Amino acid sequence: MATAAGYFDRKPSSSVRPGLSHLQPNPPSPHTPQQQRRVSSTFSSPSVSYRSEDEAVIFEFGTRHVSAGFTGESYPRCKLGFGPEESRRVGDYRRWLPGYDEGQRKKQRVESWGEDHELWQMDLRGMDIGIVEDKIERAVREAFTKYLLLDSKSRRLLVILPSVMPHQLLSTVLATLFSNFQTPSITLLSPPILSTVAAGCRSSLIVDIGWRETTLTAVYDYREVYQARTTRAMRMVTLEMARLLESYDTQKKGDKPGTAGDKSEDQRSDVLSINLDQAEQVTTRMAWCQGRQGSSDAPPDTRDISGQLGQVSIAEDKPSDQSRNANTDDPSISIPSPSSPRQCISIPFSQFAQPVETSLLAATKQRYDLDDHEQPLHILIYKTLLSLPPDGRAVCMSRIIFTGGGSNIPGLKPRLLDELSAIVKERGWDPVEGKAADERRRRLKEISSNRQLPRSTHEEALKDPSNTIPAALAPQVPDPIEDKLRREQNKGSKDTISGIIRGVKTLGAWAGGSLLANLRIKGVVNIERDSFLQYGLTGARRDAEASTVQQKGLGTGVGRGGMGERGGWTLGAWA
Amino acid sequence: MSFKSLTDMRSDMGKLKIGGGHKVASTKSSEAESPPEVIPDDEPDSVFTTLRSFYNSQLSSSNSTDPLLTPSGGFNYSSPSSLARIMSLYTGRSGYGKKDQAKTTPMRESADPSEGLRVLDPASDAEAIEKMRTQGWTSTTSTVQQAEQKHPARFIDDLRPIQALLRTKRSKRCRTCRHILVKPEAKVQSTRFRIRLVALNYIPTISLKPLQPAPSTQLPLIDLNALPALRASQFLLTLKNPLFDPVKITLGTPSHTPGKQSHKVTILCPQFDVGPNMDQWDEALGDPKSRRTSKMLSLLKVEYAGGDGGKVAEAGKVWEKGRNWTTVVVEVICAAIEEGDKTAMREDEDVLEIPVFVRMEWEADTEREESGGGGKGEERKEKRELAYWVVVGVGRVGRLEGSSS
Repeated sequence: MATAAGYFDRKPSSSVRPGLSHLQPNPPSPHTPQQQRRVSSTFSSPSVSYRSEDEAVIFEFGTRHVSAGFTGESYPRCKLGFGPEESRRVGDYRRWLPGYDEGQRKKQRVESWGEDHELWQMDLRGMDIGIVEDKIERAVREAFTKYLLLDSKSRRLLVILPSVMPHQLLSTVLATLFSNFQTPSITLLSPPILSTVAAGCRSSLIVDIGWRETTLTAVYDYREVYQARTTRAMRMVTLEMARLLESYDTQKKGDKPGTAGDKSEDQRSDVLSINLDQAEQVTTRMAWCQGRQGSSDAPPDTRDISGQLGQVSIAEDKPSDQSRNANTDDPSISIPSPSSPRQCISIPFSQFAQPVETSLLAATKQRYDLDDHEQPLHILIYKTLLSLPPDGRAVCMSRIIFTGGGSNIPGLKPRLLDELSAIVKERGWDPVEGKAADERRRRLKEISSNRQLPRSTHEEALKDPSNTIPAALAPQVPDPIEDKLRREQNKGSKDTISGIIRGVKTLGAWAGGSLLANLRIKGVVNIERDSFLQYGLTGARRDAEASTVQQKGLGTGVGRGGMGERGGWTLGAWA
Repeated sequence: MSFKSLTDMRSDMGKLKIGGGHKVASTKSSEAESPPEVIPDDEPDSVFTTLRSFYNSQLSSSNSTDPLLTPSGGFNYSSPSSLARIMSLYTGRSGYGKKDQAKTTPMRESADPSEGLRVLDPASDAEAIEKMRTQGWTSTTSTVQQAEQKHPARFIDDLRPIQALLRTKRSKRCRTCRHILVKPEAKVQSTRFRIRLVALNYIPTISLKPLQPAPSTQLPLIDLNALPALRASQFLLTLKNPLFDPVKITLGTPSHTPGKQSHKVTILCPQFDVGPNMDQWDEALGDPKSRRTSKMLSLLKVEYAGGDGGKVAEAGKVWEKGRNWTTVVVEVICAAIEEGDKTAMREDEDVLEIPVFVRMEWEADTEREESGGGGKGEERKEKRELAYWVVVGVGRVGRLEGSSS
């Protein structure tokens, strides 16, 4: 008897499946639902309920890494990369041979630089899907057998995938997981939502500085409302870092004194002999981002002014300035030389900020030179906020969340926020810009200054109590009843901060997924193994998906427990 | 440093601060109880627990909301439960409508650090930059170190000890038929297997060695590190049968190898038989001539075309045949690799590898399997076949002589 009681105690609680009691059209009293619930759980198959108790395993697929781990943990158990070293054959230990790295220095074309370190590209034209499949399989198998130490068969999977990706890739991921790992079901979740959850917010502007591209997603109430992207991302930073390294490396050898870093972006050679591992190593260790020029740095401004006042030419002032800085502010950092690991090259510390400056912030380029797909980050953040409706903008601008590999660069986040507030200060939230707009604004100002006179009479009129005040100018009459109502409504809830520019830290998409799964919140896109293997992606509900997703408000991939419907599945945001 | 228990050292270790001493225990209670003077620490673990407890409290308080409303406030007509409620509303038979008025606000977001909200502060970034500036390259962690840490660690001071990975014994199933292929014994000490169906016990072992040109032709010997390009070179492909039944083999290969360099490949005798893997005694009693030809010996021995009794490779003819092995000749004409290509070439692109499709057919005794299930015990032959792709690695293609001049 005791065992039976324990058995029923382990049933999923009502919070998992709250819907059952409401199926009864007319419950006689508030107490009955409990009883009915117990009855229904007696008849349901125990194996099913136990399976749902099983903790899911969370996988996050990115261009460069796969992270895997258990729900309820704040960090993934493993983070696996995709490099050429991972695709070596068994027994190929050549990389450990002495002098192997030095022999490996081959010139690589910039376009394909580092491509073999990526799991996939979103451009499928030149890509071999079979290789992607194999890479995924190998990474997932390694995660299961080496780090998770689990049988993949019985575990539900929670897969974190960007919601905008080719169906071919999505189908490949799902097919690999279902057919090779016998996963019973897969839930798809989208990274921006999870990052929002992991930051503790409901709405946010997610700036995901990824490898191939930076994605900006405005999330309002756990829904993706707007997305913008730019190619200025970590690949570009690493590439710039490689160029920097190469220029210093060749300089040291005495081949070429000219530094490639000084050339503009167009004039550079399109081959590189630094490989991605070396450049990435330097980027993760030493890359940093300068503060915004002009605003926070008060001393340079004053110095310039004093120099101008004292009639001292700037040409005289600058070199002494630099030499002084070089000793105190800008020490040389010696790093292992990429061409010969046993030697060192030294690079001034300030140089390590250059790759971020030129790639993410596009400091060297004029704005009219930039295409839509390569907007610098701060401009794009501003544009994204601008394109949101004012309410959403107010909420999102005070919840700017930086994630992705680029968010680890020290100084980048404050810099972007500074740049953003500078733009807002300068332009306000006016979508119109350019010379003509400035001209129009100036004219409007003139007109308004011309009208200054009548307004002042108005103000005089206001002061005079005998005159009747026009309703438009009358101050708002405070309504005590409405105040009271509002206070009553907001009782217990804290004020939401909005309208100021503020950055919020997040634990990352993976941790968000872990959090959601731990809270037993189900996603909308829940794919069962059998139905996928039978029909593939075409098995997803087409007709219902547009309406249900929007009405349920779950299009973002987050729904409350028990909302998932039986029979048929949808691709939701991934469709 | 002392640990509470021997079993869970890792979680104990996680609770330690970097500089030693225990971290402040994170307040697990909800936001109302937590004292405001406690500064919540910024460690991702504790932030995670505070966030989780916050969401838990929010979910439980907002669970009483109208189920017609989604958390985002939209109406949810599609779920059957809310349909039932709507129906009951309109039929007016129940008191549901009254309960709906007492709906609470939807769950809110976390508002302060005690609920897991962390606002960016530029000071920490400036601090990190300053540290990088002063301490330089050696104080920062490498990518490998970062990948193994559970939370991002920029500096060496932030590194935490990582646990050794445990290993398990794993059984393996066939991907298509789900039959168990490998199952180790459960005992920890034993290294034996309960089930071990290794492919090498079923499919022929394939080996390849060059068939050097006859000394009379004055051609240089084949060097596997520099295969002659634009000239036919012959190789001996040996298949050794592990089965106890004679096997019929059919080999197939694309006439040009795939990849950037397309080499021409011809298998001179694609169809042949391989003898059974009989007992050594049978062999000793049988043909005395094949007794000496151990396979290892034949692999090491350098063979010349026309050397051993004037034997020359002929199309459609088996080169040599032993007890349970057969050798056929493969002819390869390597494509020339240009001198300029050599530098731009990726690693191992000059390696000659021949994909071969092997199809084997044999008649197996079904008796052995059926006898356990109460079979008649009489020998019944069953025709079986197996086909698979293999890749035979040959060697590196050498540079074309005289191309540099």
